[in-house]
Amino acid sequence: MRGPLAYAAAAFAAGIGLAGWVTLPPAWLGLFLLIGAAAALLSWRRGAAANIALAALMAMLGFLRAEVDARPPQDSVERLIAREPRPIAAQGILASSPEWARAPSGFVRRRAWLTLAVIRQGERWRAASGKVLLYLPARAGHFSYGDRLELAGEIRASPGRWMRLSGACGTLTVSEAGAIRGLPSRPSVWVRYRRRIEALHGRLTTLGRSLLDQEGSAYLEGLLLGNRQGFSKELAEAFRKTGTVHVLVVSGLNVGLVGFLGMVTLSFLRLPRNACHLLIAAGLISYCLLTGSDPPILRATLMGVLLCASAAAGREFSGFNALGAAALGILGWDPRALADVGFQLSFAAVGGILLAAPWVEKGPRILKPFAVSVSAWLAVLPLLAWHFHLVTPVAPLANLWVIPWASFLMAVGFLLFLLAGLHPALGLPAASVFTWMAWVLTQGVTWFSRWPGASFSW
Amino acid sequence: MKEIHGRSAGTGLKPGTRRGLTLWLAGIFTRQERLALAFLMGVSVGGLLLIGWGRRPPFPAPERAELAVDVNRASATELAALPGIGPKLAARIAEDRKRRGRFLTLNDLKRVKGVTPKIIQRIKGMVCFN
Repeated sequence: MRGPLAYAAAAFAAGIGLAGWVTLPPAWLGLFLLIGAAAALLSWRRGAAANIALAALMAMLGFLRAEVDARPPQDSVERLIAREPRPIAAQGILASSPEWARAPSGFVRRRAWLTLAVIRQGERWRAASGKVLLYLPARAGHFSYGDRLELAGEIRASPGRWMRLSGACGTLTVSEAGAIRGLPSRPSVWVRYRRRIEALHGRLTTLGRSLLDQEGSAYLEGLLLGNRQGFSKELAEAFRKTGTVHVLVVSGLNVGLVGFLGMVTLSFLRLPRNACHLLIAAGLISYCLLTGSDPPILRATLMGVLLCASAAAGREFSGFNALGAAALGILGWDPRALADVGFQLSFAAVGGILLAAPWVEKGPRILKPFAVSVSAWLAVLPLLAWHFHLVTPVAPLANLWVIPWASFLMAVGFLLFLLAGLHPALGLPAASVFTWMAWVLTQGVTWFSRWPGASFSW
Repeated sequence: MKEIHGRSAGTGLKPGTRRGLTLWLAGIFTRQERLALAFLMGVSVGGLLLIGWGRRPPFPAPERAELAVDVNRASATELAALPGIGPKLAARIAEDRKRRGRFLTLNDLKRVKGVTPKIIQRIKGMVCFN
């Protein structure tokens, strides 16, 4: 099966990766681009040479994208702030709804992402840009995604890795409730839609917590809503040691299940095929927004939408092309995603399954049931060793049981939300089944983690 | 094919190896795919150059910032964000500025009740007087 987009994405990613190691003056980059374009033009009729030149050009495009992303605009507040906190008055738009978060010191406070629009210098307001992490006082009032705010506080540069990967240049701390106020604004259709999704997320979380115990609600929120904070350290460690922690991350498994449930539901309505595909694609996008739009779920959603599009167009679906298109889409929007561990693991696993599973299936018969599990495990092995200093030999065997069980657990979870959404009492039977299944999953993963040689770390 | 065999002669490589690699490389993109990629790349490069034109490279965040609070124009809320100055003192500074006119230097701030030499030392370098 061909996948030209996969090769293009690999070259693009290589260019972005190179930009993290090499600094090239713009003149040299322009020169290389011209040489590459000339080589591609001259070798246009000679297949192999032209393709090499195009791949090199694609890598240079990735390099250029990363360079542009790393250079802040002229009006960016990043050029004005320092590591020492400074007072600032600014207006901006909330890029996320405020949430409670625990600082490393243990102190809990509200925070949200803020996209700056103007800052005050002297008497005048001047245009500014940049994203900051806003810390709000506890009694600041109710704000949500898309609200325009005027505030005064202290801003400081934060050059940490997590901040850099998030695209933020610093933190802005507002200490007093009186120093922040909402400005009148007309929320756009997109903002209203996002707010509804966030409200739904809150309602589902509350519903789950009212029907399940702590462990059950941790599984429900982790498997279906993308919130992994409810798991105990021991349980998270057991999942990590068995190489099954990916089931706790909303990704392809969830998207596949949402798509399947959507197909089954829509088949009863007897709608036209194209309408079904459109609705499923819209459902996948909504689910992606509901669960936080991390790179693994973004990857799965983009591939799912392409699958719907190819089915609607009556064309054959190419897994390689879809993977490449998803990578190009995510990296083109945010080149920093390449450094995200979730991005690397997600794409490596799917790439490994697409590449290696057909070969493993042709091998010894005993390996056939393990083809997908072994392929994914081999693909992510170097990444796990590099990032986490961990090797999990038990993972292929553990995943053979955990993945199907987790899939059933997710299906019961969706049923729980559906029934409890109509009336909480209707969700009680599903809650009982979910609690039992979650307990079995915990026991199973813990059992696998205790095997001698289940994992090695250094 | 003859050309490929001719090139591989005398290299020590089996003819099939190089032919296989060349065929694989030639099959990555078809002619139409090359055209589409070249077009998309051209548009992307143009867009990136437009966005990135004039941007300077990033630099490490300095210790001290260029943002200074103009004492003669800042609101009480902005003044209250300065270290050592609370809301009440900030309101007194704003009130004094309104009654008695602008402050010309840091020492002028001493005329406001509650502004101590320690506070002046702390905000030195963070304020300006326009």
